[in-house]
Amino acid sequence: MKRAALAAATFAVLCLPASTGEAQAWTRDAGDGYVNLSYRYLGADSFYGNDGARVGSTPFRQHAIGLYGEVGVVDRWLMLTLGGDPMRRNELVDLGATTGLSDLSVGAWTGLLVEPFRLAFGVTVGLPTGDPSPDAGPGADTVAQLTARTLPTGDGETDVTLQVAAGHGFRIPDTSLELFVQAVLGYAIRTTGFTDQIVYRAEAGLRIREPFVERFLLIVRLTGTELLGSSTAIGGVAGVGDGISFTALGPELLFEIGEGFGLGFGADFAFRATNLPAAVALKGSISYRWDFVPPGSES
Amino acid sequence: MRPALWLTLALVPITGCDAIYEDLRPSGGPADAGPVAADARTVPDDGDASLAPTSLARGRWEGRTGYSASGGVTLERDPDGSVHLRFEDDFDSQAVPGPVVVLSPRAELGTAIEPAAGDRQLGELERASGPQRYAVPAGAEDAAYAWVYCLPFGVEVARASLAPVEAP
Repeated sequence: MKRAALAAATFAVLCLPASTGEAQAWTRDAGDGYVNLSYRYLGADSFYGNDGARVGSTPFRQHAIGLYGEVGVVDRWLMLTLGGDPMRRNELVDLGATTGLSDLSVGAWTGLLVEPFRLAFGVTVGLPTGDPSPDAGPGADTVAQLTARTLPTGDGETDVTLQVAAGHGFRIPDTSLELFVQAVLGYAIRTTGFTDQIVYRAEAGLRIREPFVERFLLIVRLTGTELLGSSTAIGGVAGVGDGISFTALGPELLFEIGEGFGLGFGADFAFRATNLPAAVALKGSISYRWDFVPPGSES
Repeated sequence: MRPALWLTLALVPITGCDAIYEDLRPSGGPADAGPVAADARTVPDDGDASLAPTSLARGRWEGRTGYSASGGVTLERDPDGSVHLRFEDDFDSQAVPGPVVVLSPRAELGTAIEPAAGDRQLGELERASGPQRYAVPAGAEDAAYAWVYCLPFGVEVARASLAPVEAP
């Protein structure tokens, strides 16, 4: 209990996002960590074609169990991240489905600035652990083979993304409102002939410092990817592969249960995209955050 | 934890994992799209001038639903009476997942191939550019359109309107 009390006492406004979610700009101190287990669902009856226009298609469903973690290694200077879907299922209704591990990403972040705002630099490596060309198995007919290959769980390439994240948290004077803003901008170096991309994310969070209500954090998030050049080979619209660009917007509501545990509910919708399903993606998550307490400091 | 399990976990990021495929077609058959003549879809072009085929119809590829395509296509009859759809040397289209070649009387296929409406699949598209030929089943010679179609997602990729060639 002392440990929990100490963790609560060290909570500060400037650590607002770090306490409750992915917090690249707020690199975690050594031993501190955060892990998030999520479920995502997407159901689409159309997708964004190569020119960005919505095209009707065979109904597509995607279910994914996601895992994301951050752990601080050196105060301010080094935080490691791991992300991916241990289970992803892509389904074309009444046709076929693939289930498997997605690509994983590992990252390292270092804090460049703490004041007057947070600034961090990160390198993320995407590992081709998913299946870029699923097989329907021996004896399967052509339709099954075509369908299987259309539903990859990975893109089959190793990529490197260089990112800069800036964030700032503050309380609005004479109110109980706390806000944070964070912007992440990155350059994704793709391999195996894929087109390089610019990736970005901007988010703003709001918390009201009142009894009980302060357990909630509302985040509005804009995410996107832009292609640096034209892509001619479209690998599929299952969310992996070449030729993907999008801008998505959505809210997420986080709730602190206590003792480091939290729940999250969110949705986002790509209002412009190429080669992606056109649908609202829903997400539910449970998270756990811990703060390392050096031996002897609890007494 | 056993060493073998550690080794397996360590190898996953290196080797990746194969996805498991599940066939969801209600009947277990080819998804209400008619047979795909995969084994007999293409025929070799032997180049013998004495066996030159007779052109029945010609057309030009054009991209559909945002995809690009260009080049010519010819419906032709060989001296032995068999009919083929020949993609010209200049054929070029955008690579998409699960493409098949279709002959149809319809100017729009929408999200499904309908054998009852006269659609005939000739097989999986061999490659996104360059010459290739596909055997045409009996009864499909009068098709007004040739298509490249994304079968799994039900999306039109390229269409060629076939105009009859006047006999010399």
